[in-house]
Amino acid sequence: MQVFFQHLVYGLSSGSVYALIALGYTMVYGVLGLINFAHSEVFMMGAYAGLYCALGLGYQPDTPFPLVNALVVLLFAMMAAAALGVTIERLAYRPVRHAPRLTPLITAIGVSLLLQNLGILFFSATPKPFPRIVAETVFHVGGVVVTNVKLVIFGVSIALMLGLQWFVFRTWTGKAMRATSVNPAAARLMGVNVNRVIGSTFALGSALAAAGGILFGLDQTTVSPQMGVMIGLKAFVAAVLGGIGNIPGAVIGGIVIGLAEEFTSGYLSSEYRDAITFVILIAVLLFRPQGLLGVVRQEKV
Amino acid sequence: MSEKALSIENLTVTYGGITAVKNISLHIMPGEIVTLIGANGAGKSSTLKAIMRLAKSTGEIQALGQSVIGKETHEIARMGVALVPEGRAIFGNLSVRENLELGAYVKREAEGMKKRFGEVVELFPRLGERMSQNAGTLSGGEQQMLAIGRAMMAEPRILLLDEPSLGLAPKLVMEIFAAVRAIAKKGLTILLVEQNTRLALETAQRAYVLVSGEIALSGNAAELRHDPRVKDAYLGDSAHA
Ligand SMILES: Nc1ncnc2c1ncn2[C@@H]1O[C@H](COP(=O)(O)OP(=O)(O)OP(=O)(O)O)[C@@H](O)[C@H]1O
Ligand SMILES: [Mg+2]
Repeated sequence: MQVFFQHLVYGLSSGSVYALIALGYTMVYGVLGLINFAHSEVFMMGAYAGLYCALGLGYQPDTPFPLVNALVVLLFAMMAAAALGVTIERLAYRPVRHAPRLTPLITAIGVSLLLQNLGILFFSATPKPFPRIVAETVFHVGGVVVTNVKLVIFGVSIALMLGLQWFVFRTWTGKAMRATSVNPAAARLMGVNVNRVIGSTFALGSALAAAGGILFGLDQTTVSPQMGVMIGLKAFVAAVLGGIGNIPGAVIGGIVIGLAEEFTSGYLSSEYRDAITFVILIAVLLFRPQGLLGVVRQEKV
Repeated sequence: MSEKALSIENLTVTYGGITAVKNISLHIMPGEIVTLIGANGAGKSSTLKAIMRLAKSTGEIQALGQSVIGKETHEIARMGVALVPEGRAIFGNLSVRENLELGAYVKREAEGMKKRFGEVVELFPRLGERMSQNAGTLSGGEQQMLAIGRAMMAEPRILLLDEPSLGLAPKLVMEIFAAVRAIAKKGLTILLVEQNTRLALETAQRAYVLVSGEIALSGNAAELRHDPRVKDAYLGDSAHA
């Protein structure tokens, strides 16, 4: 039982990072019908933005107010990633928005490769240690090891997801996003500036990915220009599992993938850790292609 | 100079090689109900889409004294022009309330959301009973009511209606048209596209008849109702051989 709870703690924390990244895939798919393959590199760039911010400000584990410092780094990285996401949409995706489906897809893969290589160029291909902004404290709760870092990861993810929920349901921009994802032409008729909504969606999704990047860095202690490849793929599978285009679906998908991975490596073998994600992907595509919460998309006008 | 609420001069709408609307001109005075009638494929929806810049066109279109050419759809909506499109285009996965709220998107910072909800419910009491229902589960008639109600939430000055009677039972058609007349009483300018020619001519003050993308006839609606050419082609009053 102790072992079970131990895996649960780890699974929930990595799952919530997948969920944060999955949200960006799902939101962009919702408004544009595009799978933004560059999203995993926005996650990576977000982590580096946080890394350089923390180095620049000279944060050490013993710097006073570690949680405030972590928040500063988080906000900086989120803003930098939002700017990057908006730029990618503006420069790469908007010109091909009305081109046949394959064109935006290939553009997305191109942007993804470009950003990875820019990462190697500027940050070097060698993994870098992520600054220890928060000194790790270990608690034992009934024999289960819980660290403050895991708690921060879980807490920040939940807070961001609740924030997103509030944004999407309570603000006019959020409502416009939902309207655009149901029917862009009708949204235009309501006076919605669809271009601006798409920009906001990229900004928001990218900011969440950057938060995922910071949390990943805190957890795994190193970052590299290739870190987005595997994590991004898993987050993408999470979005598909939840039902791509569906926001609560992405959260559930992320948590499920995190838990599945953790329990597989705990109870079967850690060799299957990555494989389970693809088993899930294949199962979803075969048995429930619309995902857990997805509905068969209605035709757009 | 333009006291007209809406004026269209030499409008041509083409899709690739197909010309859907050929060099038509029409206008509507403030507060008028004008109907545009014609058979399937005559170019009625294309005309409405051109007004909202949802279709590429040449020629001049002015709404409320401003040219819409070069503007984007959302900007025209913000000018006070609302289109209830063919097929209704409601937001299927959202609730009735959310659909209506989005109708008021252009007014989002303004006061009076409650008042506008009240007016729509007064127009369509059925919507009031279904505020939390998923709009996609509404019946066809209710969806049409929602589409019109949603357009009214923006407090538009010009309302463009594309075949509001399409696919509805006669009783519902009557209800919808009663609402259209009630809306007109508020002083809105209405361009009504219809295939239900009889009802359209009874509701409107003036009419334009579109045949293969060109205006074949126009004039006073009451007179057109008795025009033999209209009777033959659209009212089915003539004896069939
Ligand atoms: N998006 C499009 N692409 C190509 N052709 C189109 C498009 N939309 C309309 N058309 C063509 O333009 C012509 C006019 O169509 P339009 O929809 O304006 O007719 P309508 O009068 O509204 O007909 P209905 O009463 O059936 O709705 C038709 O021949 C139609 O096939
Ligand atoms: Mg039509």
